[in-house]
Amino acid sequence: MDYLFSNIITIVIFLPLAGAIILIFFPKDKTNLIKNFAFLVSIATFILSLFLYSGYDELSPEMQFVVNLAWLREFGSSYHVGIDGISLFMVILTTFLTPISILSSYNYIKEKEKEYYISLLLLETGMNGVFVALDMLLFYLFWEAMLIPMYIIIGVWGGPRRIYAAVKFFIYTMIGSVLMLVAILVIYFLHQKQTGIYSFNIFDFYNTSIPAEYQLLMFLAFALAFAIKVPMFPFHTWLPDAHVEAPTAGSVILAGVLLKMGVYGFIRFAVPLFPEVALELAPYIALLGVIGIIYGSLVAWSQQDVKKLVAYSSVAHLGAVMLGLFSYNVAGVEGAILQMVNHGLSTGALFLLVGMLYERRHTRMIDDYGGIARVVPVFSAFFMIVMLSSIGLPGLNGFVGEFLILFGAFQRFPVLAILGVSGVILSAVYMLSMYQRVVFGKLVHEENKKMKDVNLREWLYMLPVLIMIVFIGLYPSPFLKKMEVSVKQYLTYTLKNAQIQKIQPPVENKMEKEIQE
Amino acid sequence: MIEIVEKLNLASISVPLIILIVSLWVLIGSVLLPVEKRHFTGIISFFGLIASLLYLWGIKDADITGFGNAVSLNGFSIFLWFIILAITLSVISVSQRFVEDAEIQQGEYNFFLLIATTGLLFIVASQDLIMIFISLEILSLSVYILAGIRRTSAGAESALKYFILGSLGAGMLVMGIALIYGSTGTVNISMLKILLQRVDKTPVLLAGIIFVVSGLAFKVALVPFHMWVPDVYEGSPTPVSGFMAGGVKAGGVIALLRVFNALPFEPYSELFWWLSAITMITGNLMALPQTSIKRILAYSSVAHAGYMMIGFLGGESGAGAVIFYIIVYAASTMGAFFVVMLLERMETGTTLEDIAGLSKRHPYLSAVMAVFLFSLAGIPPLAGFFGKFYIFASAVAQGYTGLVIIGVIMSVVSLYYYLRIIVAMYMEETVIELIPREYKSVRFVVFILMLISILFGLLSDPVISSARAVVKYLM
Repeated sequence: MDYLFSNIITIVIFLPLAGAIILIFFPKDKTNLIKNFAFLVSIATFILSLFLYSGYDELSPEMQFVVNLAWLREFGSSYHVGIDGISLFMVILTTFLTPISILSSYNYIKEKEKEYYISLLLLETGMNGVFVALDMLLFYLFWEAMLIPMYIIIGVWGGPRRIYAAVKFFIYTMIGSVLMLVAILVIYFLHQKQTGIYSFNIFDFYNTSIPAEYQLLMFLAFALAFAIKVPMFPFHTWLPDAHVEAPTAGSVILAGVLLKMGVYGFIRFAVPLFPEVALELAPYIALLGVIGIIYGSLVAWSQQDVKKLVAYSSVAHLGAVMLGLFSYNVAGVEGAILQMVNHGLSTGALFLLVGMLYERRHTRMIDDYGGIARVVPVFSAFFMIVMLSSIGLPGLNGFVGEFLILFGAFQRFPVLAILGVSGVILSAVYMLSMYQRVVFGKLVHEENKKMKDVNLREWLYMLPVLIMIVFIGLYPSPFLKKMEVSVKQYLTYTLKNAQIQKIQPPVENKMEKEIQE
Repeated sequence: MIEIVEKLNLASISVPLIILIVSLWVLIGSVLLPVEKRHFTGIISFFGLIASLLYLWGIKDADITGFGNAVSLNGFSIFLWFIILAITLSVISVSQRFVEDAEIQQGEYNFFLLIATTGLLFIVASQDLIMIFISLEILSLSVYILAGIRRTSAGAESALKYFILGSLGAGMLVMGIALIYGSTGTVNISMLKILLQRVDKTPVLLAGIIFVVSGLAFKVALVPFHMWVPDVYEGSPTPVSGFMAGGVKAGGVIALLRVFNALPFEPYSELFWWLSAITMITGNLMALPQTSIKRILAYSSVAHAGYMMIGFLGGESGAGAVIFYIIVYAASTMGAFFVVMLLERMETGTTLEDIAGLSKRHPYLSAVMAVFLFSLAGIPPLAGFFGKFYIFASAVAQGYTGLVIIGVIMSVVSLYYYLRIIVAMYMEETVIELIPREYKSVRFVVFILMLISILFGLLSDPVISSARAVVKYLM
C-alpha cells in the first residue's frame, strides 16, 4: 500500500492511458460498455487524485509525492514528477472535469464512439503529465503529445468548420512550442557548460545563470508558447474557432484545463527561469491582460452565438488571471490560481449548459431562444447560478478569485486594476443580457415549448460543479491554505533572484515585507 | 594466389557476399523456375536475409579491414548493416504479393533489390572514395531498373529521369574524386582527413570537393539536386519508393557523412549549413500544394534529408543522432509508403481524394498511417520527435541555434501537409470507396514499423547510446 501511495502520481497520470489501451480491444458496437468503461476509468482517476489532495502537506514548500526514475541516461533526462500547492489544483481540476465531460458526451457523440473516448482518456494523461512533470523534456513531451487527441476531438466530432479550427489550433500552438524547445535546449547546454552535468531537471534549470543578452529572447520564446495557450491578447485568435467548433466535452476540457496550462507554464517555467526579465516585462504583460479583459468582454457582448460569447468571455477571464499573476504579490498570485480553478468550473459549466441547449434544439443562436424559463425551470436555475458565478457575484466562486486578483493588482498597478474592474462590469453586461434574452421574455419560438428539462444524467454531472461553485464561493480558505506556502515560495524565489542580478525598484521592498508577514 | 586472397581478407565483406550469393540463387531461380513458382525467389531472399542477420549477430564484435583498407568491418558497419538488412527484409516481405498482382517479373525484382542491398552494405563499410563510388553505382543502377520495372509510361519516365539525373550525379562524383586524387594523391578517407588539413586549398581541390559533395547530394536528394525526386517516387512501384526513401537515402547520407567528416570543418561546414537550410525550406514548401500522397511523401523525404544535414554540424553526438534519425525516419516513411501501397489503384497512385473518409471503413489502417505521419512531423511522444530532438540538441550544443530555429519552424510547416492527409482520412466524407489489398504480410510488417515509430522514441536510451558509440569509428 505504501508503495502504491508513493507512486500515486504515476497512477493518476497513466491510469487513463491504460484505460485507453484497454478500450482499443473493445468491440466497436458495444457503445454502452465503452462509455461506461471510460467513465469508470476517469472516476477512478479522480478518486485517486483526491489522495493527492488529502496527503498533501500544506506546510511544506517542497515538491511532494516525487518520483524520479532514470529515463534517457545519456541526456540526463528522467521521469521526474511531483506536485506542489499550485499543480495540485490543476491536477484535481483535470481529473474532476474529465468524468464530467465524458458523462456529458453520452448522447452528444453518435459516431466513432470508441475513438472518441480513447482520445478523451489520452488527453487526460497528457494534461496530468503537463502539470506534474519536473523534467523539462518530459514536460515538453506531454505538452505536445496532448495536442494530438485534442486536435482529433475538434476535427472529427466538431461542428461544420471543424477542420479549419482543428488545423489552426494545432499549428498555432505548435509554432509557439517549437521555439520553446530551442530555448530549452540552449539552457540545457548552458547548464552543461557551467556544471559539466547533463540534466533536464527543472531545478537545475532554475540554477543556471543565463547571459543577460539571451535572457529577453529566451523569455520571449517561452512566453510565446504559453501566451498562445493562455490565450493572451493578441494571440487568442485560435480560441474562438476551436471553442465554437469543438464538441461540448472538447470545449469543457479546452476552457477548463488547456488554457490553464499556459498560465501554469508561466508560473512553473517562464517566470522562475528568467526572473528579472519577467519582472521587467510584468507591466506590459499585465497591460496585455487588461486589454484581454476589455477586448474579450466587448467582443463577447456583440456575439449572437452563445458558445462564441462564452469563448470570448474566456479571453477576458484569462486576461484577469494574467493580471493577477504578474502583480507579484500573494493576493494576486493566489487569486490567479484560484481564478483558474473557478474559470475551469464556471466556464466548463457554461459550455455544458450550451451543449444541453444545443442537444435539445440544435442551435446556439441567442435569438432562437427566449422565455424558456417556464419550459425548463431547473435548467434555467442551473444556468443562473453558473452565469452569476462567471460574473463574480459575491457568495459564488468567481467573486473570491476576482476580488483577490484586483486586490493584488491594485497594490502594484493601480491604473490597470481600475481598468480591470471594468471587466467585472462588462461581464455582468454581456452575461446578463444574454441570459435575459435566452431565458426570460416571451416564449416566441414554437419549438421551444417542447424542450425537455434536465434529465438524471445531466443532474449527475451538473451537480458536482454547482456544489463546488457554491462551496468555493462561501468557504475558499481550505483551498487558499493549500496553495499559500507554494505561492509564497514562488514569490520569494522569483523576487529574490530578480534582485540578485539587478538593483531592484523600490516597489519590491514593500512586497518582500508583505511576503514575510 | 592464396596469399592475395588472404591479403584481401574476405571476412571483411562476408555479409555482402552472402547477400550476393543469395541474389545469384534468386537470379538462377527466376530463370529456371516455371512462372507460377517464381514466388520461391521471394522465399529464398527472405530466408537469405534472415540468415545474414543471424550471421551478423554472430560476428557483432568483429573489427577487421580488408581489400587494402578499402572496406572495414567494425562496430559502425555492423550497426548499419543491421539497419539495412532490416530495411530490405521489410521491403522484400511487403513486395511479394504486390509484385505478383502488378505483373512484375518477380525474380528480377527480388534480384535487383538484393543487388541494391549489396551496394548499400558496401557503402557503409567503405573507407575510400573509389569504393564509395563503386558501391553507390551498384546501388543506383539496380534502383534505376527497379524504378522502371513496371512497364508503364509513368514507370519508364521515372526510370529514365532517375537514370539521366543520377548519371549526372555519378559523373560529378567521379570527376570530383579524380580532382581530389590529383591534388592530394589519395582516395583513402582517413588519409584525406589528415592531408586536407595540410595541403593548400587550390582551386582544383576546391572544385573536386564541391563536385564530390554535389554528386552525393544528388543521391541524397538535397536541394538543388532534388528535381528527380517527386516524379521518380511517384512513378516507381510503391514498395520501391519506400526502399528509396528508407534505404537508398540512408546509404547516401552515410556516404555524405563520411566525406563531411574527412573535410576540414572550416569553411565546408558553411556549405552544409546552406544545403541544410534550403533543403528544409524547399522540401517542406514544395510539399504543401501536392495532392498525390506519394508526392507529398517524396517532398517530405527531401525535407528530412535537410534535417539530417543539421546533425552533420553537431559533431560526434550529431553523427550519432543522424544514425538514430535514419532508423526512425526509415521506419515511419516506409510504413507510410506501405500503407499507401495497400490502398493504391495500380496505375494512378493515391490522391488525397482517394483516402477521404478512410477511417470510417478502415480504422486500423488509418490509425497506423496517422502514427507514421505524426512521427514524421515530429510530434511527441512518437519516435520522429526524438530523432529530431537529438539532432537539434547536437546542433544547439555546437552553437547552430539559427539553423535549428529554421528546422523547428519548417517542422511546423511540414505539420500542415501531414495533417492534410490525416484530415482527409479522419475528417472528410468518403468520395471513392477504396478497397485496400488484403496482404497479411504487409499488415504484419506495418504493425512492426508502427511499434518502432511509437516506442523507439520513449525507449530510445539503448538505441541512441549504441548509435553514439558506433560513430566513434567514423571520427
